[in-house]
Amino acid sequence: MKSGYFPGCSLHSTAKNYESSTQAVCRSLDVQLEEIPDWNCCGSTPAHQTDHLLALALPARNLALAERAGMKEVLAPCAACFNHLRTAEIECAGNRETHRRVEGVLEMTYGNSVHVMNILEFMVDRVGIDTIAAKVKRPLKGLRIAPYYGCMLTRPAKIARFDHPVNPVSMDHLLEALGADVVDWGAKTECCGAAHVLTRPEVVIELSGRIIYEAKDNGADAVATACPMCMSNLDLRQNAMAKATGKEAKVPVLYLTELLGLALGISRAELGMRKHVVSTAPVLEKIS
Amino acid sequence: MKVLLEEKHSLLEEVESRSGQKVQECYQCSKCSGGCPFSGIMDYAPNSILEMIVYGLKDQLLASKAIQMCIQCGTCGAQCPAGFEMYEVMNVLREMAKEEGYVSHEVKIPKMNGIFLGEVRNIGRMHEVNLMVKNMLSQGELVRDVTSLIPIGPPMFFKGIMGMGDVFAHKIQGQAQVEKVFANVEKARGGITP
Repeated sequence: MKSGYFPGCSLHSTAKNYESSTQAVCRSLDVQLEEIPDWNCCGSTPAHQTDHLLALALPARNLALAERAGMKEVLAPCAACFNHLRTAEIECAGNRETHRRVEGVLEMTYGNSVHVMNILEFMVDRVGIDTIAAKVKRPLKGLRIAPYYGCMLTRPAKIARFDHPVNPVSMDHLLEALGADVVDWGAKTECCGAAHVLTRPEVVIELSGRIIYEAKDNGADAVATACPMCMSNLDLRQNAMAKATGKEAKVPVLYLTELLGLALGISRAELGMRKHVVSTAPVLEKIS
Repeated sequence: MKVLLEEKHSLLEEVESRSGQKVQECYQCSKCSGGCPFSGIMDYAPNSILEMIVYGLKDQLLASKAIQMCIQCGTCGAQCPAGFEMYEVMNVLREMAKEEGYVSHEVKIPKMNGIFLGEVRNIGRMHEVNLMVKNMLSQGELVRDVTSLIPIGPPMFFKGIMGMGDVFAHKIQGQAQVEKVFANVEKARGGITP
């Protein structure tokens, strides 16, 4: 199977292990990823907070480039990129006037023919849980994983159009298929605070801390995420969380694709397992 | 009194027609504010904002911190029994504030957004190191921000989360196209820089 691929800025810098694990997992599942040539930043939250037309046009350039390259579907592993690309896809398809204005500022034609998918949707709906389960070489037996969806994979519902906005289950099912013990917990779609870490770090430390401690209190060995922004807030800030609450955090946070890769028998080095502030060693020990 | 009533009417009408959301259908259950991760640091909570729209309190609203804090996490909309999307309202309020030249009480977030978008405009992509450094220098809390980096920076470097290759920014080939998108949006907005 072939698919278009939009890595986004984070996967080329602080989330290199999200990129390497996504690539490795796709190779092992016989999925060929083709990167959109010369893609640009989706504009993320700053564009949508600043100007609606800009927030549609920046991702739409990528969709237009994908279309030119003959792609029908694009996998966007970063939850925020997915959300903003999908917004452009849906708003351009749903409103002729919006579509015309976007093409106008882009000075490009775009035929509304590209469908954007997030990593979960891609694995569950395109590859299929059964196909993945059949390829598991090293089941994640005994590993308690808290599936963390955050905001952008499932909300706003009319944009994401995937799973349930508040109580999604697709990652739960996928992790179960890998043999993991899935934690039933209350913070799976809580917001980590996202980019407010650059302006109000204390608020983000509190919000992300609630998620980490909720996972810890429910006996999770690790939290699984599909978002580089969530990863950064949840993994990098655990020292600050401990300082703020007086309680030790130390909960490893892993990309969903790293867990997939481990179960599929891909080497730790290829997955980039080392690139975490909170050590992933306890997780690896438990399954080795 | 007559003038005031007309004004009330116009804000509500404008927000409803631009956002496609029926603000008047809100019956103030406040679930949006209960769920919002940022209502604790907002000057007006989401449910109050809806009420202020109905009452026509335009100046307070368009200069508020609250409208700059929404990141479209969608928690409010997912819980709203009236079934509408608050973030659409927030987007419209921010756009109106910009169009009408309101100076926001919130300084930090628009500043960070400007730095982020400046990177995108200049190189076509967001460059994390540039964003972090420029943002730290602009937020006016250098000591706090540098101190917070002490426990994070070295492990990020030693564990390979960030390397020397991440320090330098490279333009994409189509940077001029991206620059043009910004310029065209600016033109469409009557010269207001996005």
